[in-house]
Amino acid sequence: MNCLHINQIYLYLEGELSLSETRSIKNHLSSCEKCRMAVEERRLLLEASQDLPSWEIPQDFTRRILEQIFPKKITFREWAITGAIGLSSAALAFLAVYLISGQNLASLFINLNQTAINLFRNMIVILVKAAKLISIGFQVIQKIGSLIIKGLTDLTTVLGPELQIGLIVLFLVITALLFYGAKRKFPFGEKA
Amino acid sequence: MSKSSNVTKKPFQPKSVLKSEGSKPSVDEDKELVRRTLQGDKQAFEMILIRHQQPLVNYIGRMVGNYELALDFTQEVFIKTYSSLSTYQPRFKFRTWLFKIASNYIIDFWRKKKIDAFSIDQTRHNELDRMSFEIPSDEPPVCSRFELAELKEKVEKALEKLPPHLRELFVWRHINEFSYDEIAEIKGLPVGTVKNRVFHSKELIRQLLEEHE
Repeated sequence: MNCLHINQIYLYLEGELSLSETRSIKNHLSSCEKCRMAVEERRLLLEASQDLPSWEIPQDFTRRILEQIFPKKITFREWAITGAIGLSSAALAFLAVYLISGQNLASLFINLNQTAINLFRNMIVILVKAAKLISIGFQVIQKIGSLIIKGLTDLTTVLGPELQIGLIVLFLVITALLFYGAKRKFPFGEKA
Repeated sequence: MSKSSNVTKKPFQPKSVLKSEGSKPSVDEDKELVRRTLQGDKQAFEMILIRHQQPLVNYIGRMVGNYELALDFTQEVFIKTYSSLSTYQPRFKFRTWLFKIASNYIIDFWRKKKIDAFSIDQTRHNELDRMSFEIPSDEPPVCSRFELAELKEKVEKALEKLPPHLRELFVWRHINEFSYDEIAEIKGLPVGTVKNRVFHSKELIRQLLEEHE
């Protein structure tokens, strides 16, 4: 038998050869110092490779993944407990402010009440203004709409039926192209 | 070796010397767990996580070279696996399917970072696959000069320098202890090609040990 190839050595060491091939390699090794040394080299390399350390996994790793996949639903009891803790903390903070500032508790309540009333009043003013703005917006849209309808009506009296169909088709094509362009620019909910 | 720009390059320091737990996951048990998960059994998916998270972290960690990134990617791979579990075909081994997802995930990541993903996605036959190495007449002893513990450290360092497409195969074969058939199934390559590439990866590691001695 000729000297071994590297591939043969690995196949031999990993037990991937037939019995007769293994036997003939063993015979060759008993008489070839060079191949014996080459096999020993690869045997050590394999031994080291098969015993490399694992990377540590945090103890809560499985739980973290499970929480991502199956998000926990918050029960009414948990909501209630969280709310109670929040309210108690706010009350404690309020009490701490009162004790540190040395203010009269009654005046503190009055100030707080006044602030709340002012806030409420301002909010009402803002809401009224917002409603007015929305109403003006609607009026503008309505006027533009009626102008467009009037324009189209006048146009139909001037244009023949073929031209009207042509214009509708042109409008649809432009809309489709705009939609297609927007879809390419902003992939609506599609995976990246 | 090409690496992502946001990957912190720190010397490899395994956080522990734990070997992946116990015996290899049984193929039939995996399929049963998948079936139960699809029926809504959350504990079955938890079992899948426990069985496969260590080999997956070992693989992804060595591919990206960063501990935090390895954990994040493993998490993402499991989420992806869960969401596409209904497409799993039981005629394939579950873990080959899982590692195919992981391998594709890493390739996608490198593509997005504009890093040459072809080096890992190399599925063509090339000269290397038909190569048969002869033992040089003056081959110096390399591995036999080190104690086993030292040799393991040096192999781990050399592994970082391997081209990704060879490192991947080496990790699957020697750290995750996959069969050549399983690796061939994951990569969609002929078994002979996989064997040659794994052998080549080991010879490259040996060369690196020789050069850095």
